[in-house]
Amino acid sequence: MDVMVFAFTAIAISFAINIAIAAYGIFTDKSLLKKLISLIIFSDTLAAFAVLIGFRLPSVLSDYPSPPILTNIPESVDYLEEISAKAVDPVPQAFIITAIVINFAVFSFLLGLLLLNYKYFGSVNVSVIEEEAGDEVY
Amino acid sequence: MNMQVEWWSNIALATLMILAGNVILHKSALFGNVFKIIGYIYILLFTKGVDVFSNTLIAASSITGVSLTFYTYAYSKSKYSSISLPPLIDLFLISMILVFRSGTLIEFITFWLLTELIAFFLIAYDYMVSEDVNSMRASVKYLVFSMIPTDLALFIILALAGFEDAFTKHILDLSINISNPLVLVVIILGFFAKAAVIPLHFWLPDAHSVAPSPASVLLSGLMVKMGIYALYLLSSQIVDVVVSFTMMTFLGGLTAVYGAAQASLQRDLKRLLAYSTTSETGILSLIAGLYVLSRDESFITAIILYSLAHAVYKSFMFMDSGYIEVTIHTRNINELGFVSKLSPMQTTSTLMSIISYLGMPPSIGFLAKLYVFTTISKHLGDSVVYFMALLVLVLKVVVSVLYNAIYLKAHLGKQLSTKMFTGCSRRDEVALKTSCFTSSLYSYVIIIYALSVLQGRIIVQPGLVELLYATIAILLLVSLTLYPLIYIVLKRGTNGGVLT
Amino acid sequence: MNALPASILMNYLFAAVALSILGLTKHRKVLDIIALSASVTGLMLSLILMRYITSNGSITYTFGGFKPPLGVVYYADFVSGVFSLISSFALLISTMCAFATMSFATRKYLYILAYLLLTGVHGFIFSGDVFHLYVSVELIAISAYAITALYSNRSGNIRAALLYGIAGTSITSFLFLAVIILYGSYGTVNMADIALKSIFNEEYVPYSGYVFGDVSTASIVALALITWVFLFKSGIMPNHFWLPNVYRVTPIAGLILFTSSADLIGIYGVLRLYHVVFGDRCIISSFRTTMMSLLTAMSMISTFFSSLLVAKQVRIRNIVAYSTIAQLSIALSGVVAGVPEAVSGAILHVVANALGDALVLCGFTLHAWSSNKHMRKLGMVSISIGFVNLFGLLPIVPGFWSKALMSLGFLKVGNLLGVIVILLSTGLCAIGYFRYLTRIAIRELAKSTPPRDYSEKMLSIPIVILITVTIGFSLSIILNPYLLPIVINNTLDSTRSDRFIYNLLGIKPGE
Repeated sequence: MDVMVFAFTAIAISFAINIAIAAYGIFTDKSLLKKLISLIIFSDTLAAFAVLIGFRLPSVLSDYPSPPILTNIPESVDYLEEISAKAVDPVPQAFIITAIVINFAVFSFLLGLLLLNYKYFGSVNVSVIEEEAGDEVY
Repeated sequence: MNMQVEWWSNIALATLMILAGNVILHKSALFGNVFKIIGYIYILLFTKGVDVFSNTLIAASSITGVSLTFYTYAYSKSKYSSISLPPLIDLFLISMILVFRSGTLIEFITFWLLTELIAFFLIAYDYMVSEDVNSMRASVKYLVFSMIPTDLALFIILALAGFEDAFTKHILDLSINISNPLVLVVIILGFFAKAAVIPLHFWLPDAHSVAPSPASVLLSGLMVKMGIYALYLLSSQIVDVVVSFTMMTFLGGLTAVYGAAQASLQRDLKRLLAYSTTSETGILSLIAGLYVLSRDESFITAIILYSLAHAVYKSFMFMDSGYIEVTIHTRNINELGFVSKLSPMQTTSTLMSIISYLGMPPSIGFLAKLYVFTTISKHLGDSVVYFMALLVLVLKVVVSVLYNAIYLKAHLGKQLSTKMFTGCSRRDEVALKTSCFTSSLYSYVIIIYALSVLQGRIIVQPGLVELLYATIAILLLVSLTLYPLIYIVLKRGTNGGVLT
Repeated sequence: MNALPASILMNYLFAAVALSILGLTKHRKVLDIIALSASVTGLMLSLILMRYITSNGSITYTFGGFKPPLGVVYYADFVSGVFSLISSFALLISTMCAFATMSFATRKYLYILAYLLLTGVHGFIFSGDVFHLYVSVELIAISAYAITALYSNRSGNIRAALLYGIAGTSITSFLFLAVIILYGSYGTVNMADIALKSIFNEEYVPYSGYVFGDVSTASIVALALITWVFLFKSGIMPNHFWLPNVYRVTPIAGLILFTSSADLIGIYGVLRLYHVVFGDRCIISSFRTTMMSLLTAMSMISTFFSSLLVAKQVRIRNIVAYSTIAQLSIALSGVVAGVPEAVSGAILHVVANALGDALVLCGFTLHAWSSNKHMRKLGMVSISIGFVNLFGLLPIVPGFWSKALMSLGFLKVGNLLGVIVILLSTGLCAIGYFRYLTRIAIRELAKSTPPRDYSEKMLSIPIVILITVTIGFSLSIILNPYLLPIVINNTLDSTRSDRFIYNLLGIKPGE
């Protein structure tokens, strides 16, 4: 039980640190590629955070939470109540899978843009690109 | 409803005529201009405002329109060698006339904003034609310091009146409750910005001096009156007497003195006239403040007469400065001084106008000054404020003699070397000159209209009328001896004599 | 009729899918016809929706018949109807513009992306669900990045899209964080459910149960995060850095979409968030009040500085970019002023801004690319009407009425400074607008060579439509003085939290 709480706290703190590092990378790093990597770290941390939200601490019914999967089909009301008291919350997991799919699309698109960008400017460094582009206007 | 339709058809017909005149202008200058003049006379005869003040302003606008018709054409042709200016000037004037006769608040605001927008393009006209940066700078100054504060005031009034009242109620029947003194201060400052009263006066000299002369005529002669008209409308609403009276009177008085002093320091013809305009609007604002304090209707009559006199005088003066600019290519008084030799007729018109301005009979200026002085004197016993106002007025009149003399130097100066006319065909010069002369004549012709206004206004005070007519008669006699003197001076001026 | 919101969305989604499949084949004409007809259908559906809402009240549509908070729910009221209408209209204009100005190889991608963008925007507008909101924002964002990078052979486009993309993705991640925080504490992602529990946090709702733990801290964090995301999306200073870059390079057809749909979602989101989800009776009402005054101050500062920047610009795209920031900031200050007059003024203002920007951009293209004298003149007229509308001090343009309504609202809450800032910004923007106008009035723009597929006749159609709509809209306001009170009343209904909760959950709060 204490171990569980300790682990929970440790995970929460590590999430916070992860978010801080990622934000630092996004806002201060000069390299666009590293910005993108920080962004990926950031979104994955958030996904893990969502899993944590759906987690269930040990209760009287069981020492460990069970997965939200129905095994007895056709199900009965008693069985459903038992599952819903023991299982972790499945909704955040549904969120995550959606978010991951979206992030996959966005990141691959951004990577493509980054490649094109490298082709045009010969660098992924923000200041170099700014210098190269100059005051270019329509 | 029927009356409204009739009115709209009148104004639409006149507008159509004026615009058609502008189109004809491309084919035949004479017919086009005559068409436009007929349009303006139509407005003068058939357009009625909401009350005497707006009637007077409409009359002043339409006669300015008549005298500007040929003038604008000749000016535009000789200065810009195109005729793109007249339509813009006509649009400006028509939308101003529509402001003065608006029946509802929404109409008033619509045409007011339209007028302001056209004025912006008129001030920036030189930028559009020859990329003169000064004119763009002046128009931006006008936009920020005159247009926006005024629009702010109008928006607040619209919000306070409510949309339904703004659409349906007559503008004189509105009762807007401006209880918050801060809001009142913002509104009054907004209208001050239009009338160029301190603290928002500094845009006017730039804007009025860079605009083309016909535009300056309208800006200075009529557009500043929009601010005064709005103050007059405002004063009939429920306002805090102390705040509005204090602001109008003190700031107005300050502007009157400051504008007059500045005007006498200027050596640029148009800037001199522009500063004298701020001084005049200061006087008008001062009288409006006195009206708020005393609620004496005679002050309104005074404002009406004074506005009329100033509109006619300032129209002529700017036309004259435009004439000098077009024919001699300079506006600096130190370089001038020989206009009387080139064109005695122009000098005669100028003298006629200045006589009106200084208040000599039988001009409209005389009537206006007389009425202002007698009305204030009537209240002298009530409060020390009236005495102060009288002092300001006297001071202003003294200084105005000074700057009018400086202006006159351009015509009758010591300069002996004469430059020849350049860049202006003889025909255009004659057109300009004749228009100026006509305009200066109005100072005397319009007195008939003014007397009729007076007759209508002061029917309740028979004693004053008799007093007035007696004074007029006496001063007429005095002037009969004065005019030969002026004639002799003029004669000496044209003979190469010196007038200092 | 209940399925109307979803059907608008489905119309756009199916059009996008159909276009992307057909894009593989070589049927050029079919593609154009489908794109145009789908946008007309969308506009028709939006109009029907608007008509239905104004006569019968709001619409609630449950996906799959699941009652909220169990299923995803769409909710359409007057405000969302207006936003749907303006974005659908912009899509029509944008499609026509793309058809007239872009080569086929480029415009077939623009069609797909524009329809995806509109799908996202409608999902955002109608969504009654915070997570659905997040998904829609991501969909809008990725289509917007792609539209920015449409000319992939130009380095400027790629650079702008990349900066926009990285900044945008990192910000929308915070929206995801806010959503899971909300879910963690409220046990639901349904907006009505959250709204109900933020007022009565002891309330039990079937399927989502009670709230969990300390709701107020979680609400404060979520509110702050979501607000930041929305400010970024609408480019309110100091979150505006991406906007001028993007506006400088995006094709005109895409830009029309941005100013009238993608950039408005921030304003719409703030409206929903502060008036419906966290209404004035919620447990964090003191924080909400603080945030609202902060937003007012921020929007005023943003208005002022962006207007200053407008006054300095000489290029049309920069003018449009900064003026969009200024107008959206004004709209934001109206939204957070808290009286229905100001809110309806703000809504009207974004509509007027969208119309004005579209007029200016279309007119500019026509003016710069056409060789026909009459066409160039039409372009000039279009630019003038657009600028006068953005300037908005003449009652013949809608911009006047929005500013008048907002002034009325500000005076009602005693915010004289707000009125002054609006008029000051008007003046400063006018410097930029009218300087540009006077320049092109006399010294004509250097004529640039149009692409091969350019057809000036085709481009004049959307311009004529835009001019008609702009003038007609304001004329209808002038001729019918009761239109504005109707708008104000409907907006008042849309911003009432208890009505929202009742329509979605069937629970009257406090009973």
